[in-house]
Amino acid sequence: MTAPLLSLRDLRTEYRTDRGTVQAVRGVDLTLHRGEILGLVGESGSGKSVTCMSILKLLKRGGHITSGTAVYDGTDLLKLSEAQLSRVRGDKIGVVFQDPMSALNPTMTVGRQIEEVLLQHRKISKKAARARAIELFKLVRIPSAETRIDNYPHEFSGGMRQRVMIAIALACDPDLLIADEPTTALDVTIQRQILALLKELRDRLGMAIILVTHDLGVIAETADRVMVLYGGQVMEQARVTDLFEAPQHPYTRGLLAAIPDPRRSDSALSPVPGSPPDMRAPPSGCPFAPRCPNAMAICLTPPDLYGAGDTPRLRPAQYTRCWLADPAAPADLMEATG
Amino acid sequence: MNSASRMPLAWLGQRVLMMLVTLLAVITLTFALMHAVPGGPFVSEKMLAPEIEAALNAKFGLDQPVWRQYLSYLWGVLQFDLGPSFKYPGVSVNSMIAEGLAVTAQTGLLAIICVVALGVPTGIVAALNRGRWPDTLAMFVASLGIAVPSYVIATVSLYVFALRLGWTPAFGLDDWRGYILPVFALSGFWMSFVARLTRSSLLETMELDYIMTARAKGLPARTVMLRHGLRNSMIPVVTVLGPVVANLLTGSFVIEQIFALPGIGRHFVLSITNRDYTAIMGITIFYAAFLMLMILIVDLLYLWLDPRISYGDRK
Repeated sequence: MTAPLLSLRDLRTEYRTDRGTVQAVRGVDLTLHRGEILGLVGESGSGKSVTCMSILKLLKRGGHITSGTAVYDGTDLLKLSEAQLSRVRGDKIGVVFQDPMSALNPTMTVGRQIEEVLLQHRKISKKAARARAIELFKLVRIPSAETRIDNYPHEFSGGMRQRVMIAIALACDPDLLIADEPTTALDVTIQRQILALLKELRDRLGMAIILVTHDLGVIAETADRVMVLYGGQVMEQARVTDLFEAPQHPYTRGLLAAIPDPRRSDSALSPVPGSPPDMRAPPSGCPFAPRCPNAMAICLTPPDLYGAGDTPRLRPAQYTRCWLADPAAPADLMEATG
Repeated sequence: MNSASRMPLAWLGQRVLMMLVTLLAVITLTFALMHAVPGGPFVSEKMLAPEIEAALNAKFGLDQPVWRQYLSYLWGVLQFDLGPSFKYPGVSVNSMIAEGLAVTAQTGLLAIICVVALGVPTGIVAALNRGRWPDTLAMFVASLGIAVPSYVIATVSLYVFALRLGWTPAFGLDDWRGYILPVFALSGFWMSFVARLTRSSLLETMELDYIMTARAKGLPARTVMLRHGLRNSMIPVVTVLGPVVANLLTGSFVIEQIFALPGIGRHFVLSITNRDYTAIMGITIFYAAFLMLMILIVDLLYLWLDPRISYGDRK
């Protein structure tokens, strides 16, 4: 097995606010291989966006990474200075944000916004940067690239703006693309186009993608592997087919059950009852326990992340942070909940 | 898409027309107010002989019906003639404004330069150093500049620098050093105001999503702020700069009084105590026209600052 492209160990990030400290990420481990699409899924406040923004220390005011390592291609990014980190941002790692309406500078032509990444990281002329920007526009399939390059963001539709964002992120041929809810702000039909584009670009250019979403449908369509986050921790991770076929964590099952089935018109929506925990004072045990239909007394103690080595019924590369997967858990209990 | 296509000539024409209508309202209102005020320009403690007063009234047309006075005044204004001063024989209001403006514009222009060239950079430096000592210091001084009235700044600085230390002359603009104190007193408030506005607007802009995009591109923090933050945070600053320019160029009575500068602000206030009707009206109209022009210029600057803005209905 080759060395992973990125490996996060025990990442912890908190936000200090006037109303207390929010423990957004509480010890996340993550491994990403070259060319892989890893989905991060969870509700709002689960820590999925903060996890991937912590990799490049792109945190809003008040955000602090309190511990952990993020080894990318042999270097721990969290130990780099801001100046060293800025050589990684936009060059080795590109980022696509959620809302293409607000993520582009409204007072600058899209061409300049692409060119400035190239001029920052590559020793090339303005003319060459412009040529490359047009080439990138064609890569992300923006029609009439040569003329559209001189337009301002407000002259594009949402889907086209997200293509511009992707072009910016890909400008320097990164090995990793972080896509933070890239389709959440878009129409459903446009969503599919953008996801198809991301997947196609991965196949052509070979970069790895971390795809953050709250939509399991997006994961099913796009990702190779998936991590389910809740309360700033990884609840379950598995290959996408395994997660859909054999979800282990009660939270994952709740999420899957919450996907409406259009073939059954009589089916009522079945959301996961309750609401996410207050991350200023997260539960001491399993964060999902207060909402969990299978909660037991032992759930007040934090469970470990169990793998196939601990519990035979887990698939290879599947992990779950649940007492039900503890080797000591009675078999009939697992049968009853499975 | 260039600026011209976002500002159709029809829009500009309409805009100028609206300015003229507003100006007509200003003229009519000031004229009506002047004539509603009891007494007249030639009523004073020293009783004039009735024949002399009648002769004066006749000379300036004050014996005519009001509507006729109004029409002839309006006709004059249309020809850029604001009429003769009632107080100073042989002096026209036009020449009063021209003379006053020549003085006021010198200190006013320098004050504007100070506001822009010192106020904006101070705000930027404070924002770049948010929470650290340059920010604290700049905002402390700026708060003082806003809180302390200009006449206090003027008299205290006059006392310290002109009388005690003797570094600057106490009045007049014969020497370049004579400009320092009046310009400082004039610009102190607006410099402080603009510094605070620049800082807060810039910090607000720095929280926007596209700033995060700029950081994610690997641009250095300074570039992020200056290239992506500054332009977008300048809109509120430009908005206040329009009226500030009009304000500083039309002078401040207090400052002109303290430094004995024969500027337009001083003329204006003196014309009120003198009941110099045409001078009051003329300067008011001049100020109104100037303010409207500055606001138009601000609107045109928006076009340059923000490509999303366009005027008139465009297909």
